[in-house]
Amino acid sequence: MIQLVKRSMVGDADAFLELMEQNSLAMYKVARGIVNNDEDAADAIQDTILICFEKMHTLKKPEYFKTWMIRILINECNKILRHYKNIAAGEQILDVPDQDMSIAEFEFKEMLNRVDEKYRVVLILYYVEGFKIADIAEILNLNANTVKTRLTRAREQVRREYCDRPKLCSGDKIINSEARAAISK
Amino acid sequence: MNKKLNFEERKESRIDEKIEKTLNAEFEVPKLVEMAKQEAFMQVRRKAAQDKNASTENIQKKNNASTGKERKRFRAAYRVIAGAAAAAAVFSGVCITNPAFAANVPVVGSVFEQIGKSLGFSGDYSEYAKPLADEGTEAQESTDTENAKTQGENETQENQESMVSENGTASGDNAYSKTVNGVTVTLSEVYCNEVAMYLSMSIKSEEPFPETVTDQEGAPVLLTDADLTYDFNPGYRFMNGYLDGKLLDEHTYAGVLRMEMREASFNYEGMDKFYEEREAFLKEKGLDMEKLDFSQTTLDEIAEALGMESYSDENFAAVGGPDITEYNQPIEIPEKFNVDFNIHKIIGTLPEEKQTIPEMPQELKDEYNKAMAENGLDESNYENFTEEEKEIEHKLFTEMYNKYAELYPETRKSPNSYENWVFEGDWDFQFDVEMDHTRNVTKEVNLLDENGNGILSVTKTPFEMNVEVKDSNAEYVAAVLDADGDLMPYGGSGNADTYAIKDRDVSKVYLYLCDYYEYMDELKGYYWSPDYEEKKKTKNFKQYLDEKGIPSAVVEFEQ
Repeated sequence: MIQLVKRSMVGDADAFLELMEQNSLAMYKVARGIVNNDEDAADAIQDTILICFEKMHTLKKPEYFKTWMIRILINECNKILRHYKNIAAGEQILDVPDQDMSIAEFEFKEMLNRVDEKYRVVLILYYVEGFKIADIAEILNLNANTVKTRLTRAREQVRREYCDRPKLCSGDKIINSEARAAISK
Repeated sequence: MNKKLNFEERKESRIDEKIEKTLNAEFEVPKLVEMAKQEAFMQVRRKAAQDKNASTENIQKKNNASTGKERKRFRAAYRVIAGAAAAAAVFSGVCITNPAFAANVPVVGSVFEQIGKSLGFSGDYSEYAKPLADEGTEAQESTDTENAKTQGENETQENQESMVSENGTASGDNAYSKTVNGVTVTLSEVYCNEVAMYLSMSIKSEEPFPETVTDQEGAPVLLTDADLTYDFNPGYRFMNGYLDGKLLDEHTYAGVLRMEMREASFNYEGMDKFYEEREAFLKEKGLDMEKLDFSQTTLDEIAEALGMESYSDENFAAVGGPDITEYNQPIEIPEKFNVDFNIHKIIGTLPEEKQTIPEMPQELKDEYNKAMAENGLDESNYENFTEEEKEIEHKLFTEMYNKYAELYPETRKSPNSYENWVFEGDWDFQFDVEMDHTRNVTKEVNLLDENGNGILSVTKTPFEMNVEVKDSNAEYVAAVLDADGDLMPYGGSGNADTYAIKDRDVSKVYLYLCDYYEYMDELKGYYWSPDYEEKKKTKNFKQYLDEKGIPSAVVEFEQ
């Protein structure tokens, strides 16, 4: 990836697109850690790709790319949230389950839904992106202890909301009516 | 006490594991996101094309100048598009990777090696996929056909390998076999139905194939840099040249290229024209998309200015703009058509340990650090830089990279000799294709409950299996098992009712109508348990489901 980053930094569009392609699922997961629906995630990702392309040359070191990109993305997601705060709550887009959603995607969303909004992104950055507590603190502009606390609480919520329900955790997979609608057609 | 602690620890680690597993699961990004991404990609490409001849510095200046200008918010548009036409997504599809492909195409090499057993080819492939051969190879073709027909399934593999081998060492080029620089590309068969066109080919190299990164199934990932045009749709853009295949020996690769027919019918020229008309219309209305600042303007505001209900391409006609339906009509795919296929390069990526990407030379780093110091800047303090200081840093950093790129100009190219191996061509082919509608076999199943919900039918295409399920109350899961009683793998189409046949034996397919909760909670756990292979010896998944008394049906497909 570093090589792709380097090439992108000097204006190689193909390398840049490949880089974005490789990171698209990661971006989606982070975005869903902040915004509550795919449409907003789509907007945030689109903006992030364009901003990254425009600003790629400003990246200080190729190694910083991932953190840098995630920061831009989080910023874009927060902008969208701020936008919602300024408009009537009723206008907020609700997530409509995609009929073609895979089980993996459903479970991913389902797990996130069971965790408080403010803990979600920490969970994603820690488990999906593999960032260390200190990195997350830096990205989110939080104190490291706050990150730790949020992570612990998020884990706690997953256990309580997700795994301590015998019906939900008795098998390998989770279930509810939304899942059924999403999977069975 | 200790026991309890251990238990708690185990529980903790199980939760961690569960979180990690669930959150890290791979899936395709939702369609909406894919569309947004492709839209962004298109803009990036457009921008890159505009700046093609400019120097890096100029590109950066332009990029700086245009920051935020071209971003378009499509939130309102997504809803419409996502529901309406998947073709729109295809249009903007610049496929760099090929996530949906692998699962749906026959296991690579099956066309050659496993033809007898898999995918309904049934040893009689010559009646199935059309072998590509011209006059020069007619004798060869008839021999192979003869062999395929007379030999039993078990022997077919051998037959196929010998076919590849014979084709690969053909004494001279013919319409379907070309040798350039010691590499012979031989188109072997083509099969096309309403869903996709599959083109199988072998690549034989005098030199052994270099080491190549492999996919999850251990198959080397090969990319063709190629042009492919259909005579019925000159605007078609071939974008996805990934081969799905495997090495038969160190000199011979066999693989399949899959082209979506939906893409082949997409009206690229029409849509280009539509976008031109749309831009012109917006400009006429005083809404120059190039000049609008989308950090200030939303699409909803544009829609309002235009008198549209919501912003979408479909709504332009209602406000006096271009009517998308006049531009986006799919091009009809004729029963017979001609394909022009020109492979320029065959590219593989070296495994990471074999890559030789040069490091940034120390003297360049020193130079950068020195220049930074001269400007009174310490890069470790970057976060606190003023905009001006950042500009200086970027300039110095870019200078360093430009020098690096001058030293190693290849690092800016893809493919390059540090990361890739490349067979240079051209291998130019033309071939005729005839659509086959006859191989889609639909069998009624009618495994239904009293409300008429359940499994209606199953359709088998040569490579894919589609199960039609009616489940208005969202109560069921259809479990589809192959003749060996194993669960069929999902296809990569993102549709839960599409299964990839791969090398499965589907002469007989078992369909089980499972209660959703029971399936999710219990049943599938049996199949996915780590020791299933062991359990299978005494009770396979089919036997397990039978034992549970799950309603089922059997469908047989003639081979």
